Amino acid sequence: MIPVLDVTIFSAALFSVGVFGVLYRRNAIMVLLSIELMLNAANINFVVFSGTAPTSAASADGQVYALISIAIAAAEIAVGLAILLVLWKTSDTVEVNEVATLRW
Amino acid sequence: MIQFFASGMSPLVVMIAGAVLAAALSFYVSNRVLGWLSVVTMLITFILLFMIIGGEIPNPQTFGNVMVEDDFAAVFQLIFLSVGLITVLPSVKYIEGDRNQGEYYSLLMLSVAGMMVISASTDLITLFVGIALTALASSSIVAFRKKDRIAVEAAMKFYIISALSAGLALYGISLLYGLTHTLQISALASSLQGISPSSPSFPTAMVALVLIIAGFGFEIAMVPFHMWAPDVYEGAPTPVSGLLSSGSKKAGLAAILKLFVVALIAFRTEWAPVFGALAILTMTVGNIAALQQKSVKRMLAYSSIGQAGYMLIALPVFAAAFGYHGIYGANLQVFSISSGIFQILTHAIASSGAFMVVAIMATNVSGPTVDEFRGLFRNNRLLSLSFTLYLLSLLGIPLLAGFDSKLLIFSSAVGGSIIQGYSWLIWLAIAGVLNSAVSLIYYVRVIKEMFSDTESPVTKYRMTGFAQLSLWIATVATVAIGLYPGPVISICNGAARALLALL
Repeated sequence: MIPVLDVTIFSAALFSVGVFGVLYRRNAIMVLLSIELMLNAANINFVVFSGTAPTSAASADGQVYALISIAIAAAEIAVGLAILLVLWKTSDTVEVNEVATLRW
Repeated sequence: MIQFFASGMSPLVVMIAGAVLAAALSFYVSNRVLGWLSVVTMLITFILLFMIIGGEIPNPQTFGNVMVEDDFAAVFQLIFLSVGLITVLPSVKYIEGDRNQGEYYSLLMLSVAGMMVISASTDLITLFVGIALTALASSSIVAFRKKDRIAVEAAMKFYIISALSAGLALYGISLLYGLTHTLQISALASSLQGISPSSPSFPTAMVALVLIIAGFGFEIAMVPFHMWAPDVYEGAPTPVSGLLSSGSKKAGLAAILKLFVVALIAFRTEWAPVFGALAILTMTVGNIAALQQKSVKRMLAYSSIGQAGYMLIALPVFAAAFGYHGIYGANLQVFSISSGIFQILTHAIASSGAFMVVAIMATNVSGPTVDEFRGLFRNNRLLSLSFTLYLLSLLGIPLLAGFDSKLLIFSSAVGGSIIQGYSWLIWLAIAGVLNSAVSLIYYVRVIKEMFSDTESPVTKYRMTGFAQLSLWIATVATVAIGLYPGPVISICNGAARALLALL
């Protein structure tokens, strides 16, 4: 079995890549993908920590959370891509810094 | 049937059923019927919630360890529903010419249902599902006018921010799960007790704490995570801005109360100074930025950022009161939470009312500027007088609801400041009072414009019966709570006790 620590380091790296992507990438699609990375890093954590849980009920908690958050991430991406699609239709761009009628 | 309505889940089920019905029926019935459908759905839910608070429907009721319908949940659901009702009534006129109105009503009700789930959850899974439901429904509804460039841009910003905040909070929650192997908020509270600053898992817990604060900070537009809020509120359809500022922000606060007051209470000495500093920062930045705004919609957005600072005062005061058994006993614990909830309630009503006035006057997306309010009183008595009342309540003028709640929240900070090690709480009260003085400038500027004379003709805004009803609801609530706050305060006390019972 892979040690818990290794997987946790992997998920932390994945999460950092995600945060970096959200802050640094200007293309909204890439921002969306980076957010996916963040959510998946958390899912990995849930699954690996559920393996060390003392009782099977506590272990099920983490796996259920991972499943539910996968479902939510799918719904989130569906809404996000729809919004980006209408953004493309109205502004002809999905670059975050070019869409700036409203000032940040 | 009777059995169904006697269950504590009935308000939520009615709301979701209404949302599904509105989406499904939109192919068959006229837009007018859809408007009525959502109003009637909300009224039925209202009655059910009053029965829960009044005790006709037994409360608290738990649902398989993941949800509880207690006084806390019911009071917050009542707040969300009032905001939903105040928002949906003028919407009927606001979206008159738009297509796909069924989706508008359906998404609006779904986002209120998501907030209701948040306030009832006792498990982090349910909490997260509620947050996702609220965020997805409200970011779609911001983009309701999909041909409108500004609205779509606002939706994109809101979507990215809410997904980012969900990602941050989720990672924090996953670390908490790793530390405790539980997701129940009351079980978290007891398992985290064992982690002291010297234990090896303490740094992990702190990382989780920071991520959760950042994630929910985005949700409630707390400074320094606030920069999205004015843009989104300005670009969204105005009734939806009201829903966001008074509904989904309050849902974020409900989640923060559940998480920090119950689940993360073991780390109160760590998060209390953070929330104290952020509360001062939030109110100062919000109020000072509001001074320079020309668009009234944007001014209200900044003012609601500032108001979130007042609500956050409840957290450090509670942290000080917890475990303190001096002259207050446990009273200060209940008092701090209940005055926070009371502040949330009065702000929700006044700010959603104010946004609705802007919605009624709106001729373009960004809403009217301050100049457009000049001489408004001459032709639009109800509109200008109710707007004055809302602004004065936000400002905290005696005899209006906002005054009572500000008085309570500031006095709770003063009361907490005598506790050893928490004398800095007095600065929260001082900063709050100073900020109220600053906010006087921009609120009164609009009021002055409304009552000043002007040569140029003043537009007479036409209001439907629904829109007038919405303004009347907010006005009567603001004045009635202001004059006679007793019953509402005791309901808020009940909510605070129900929250503390989870500990």
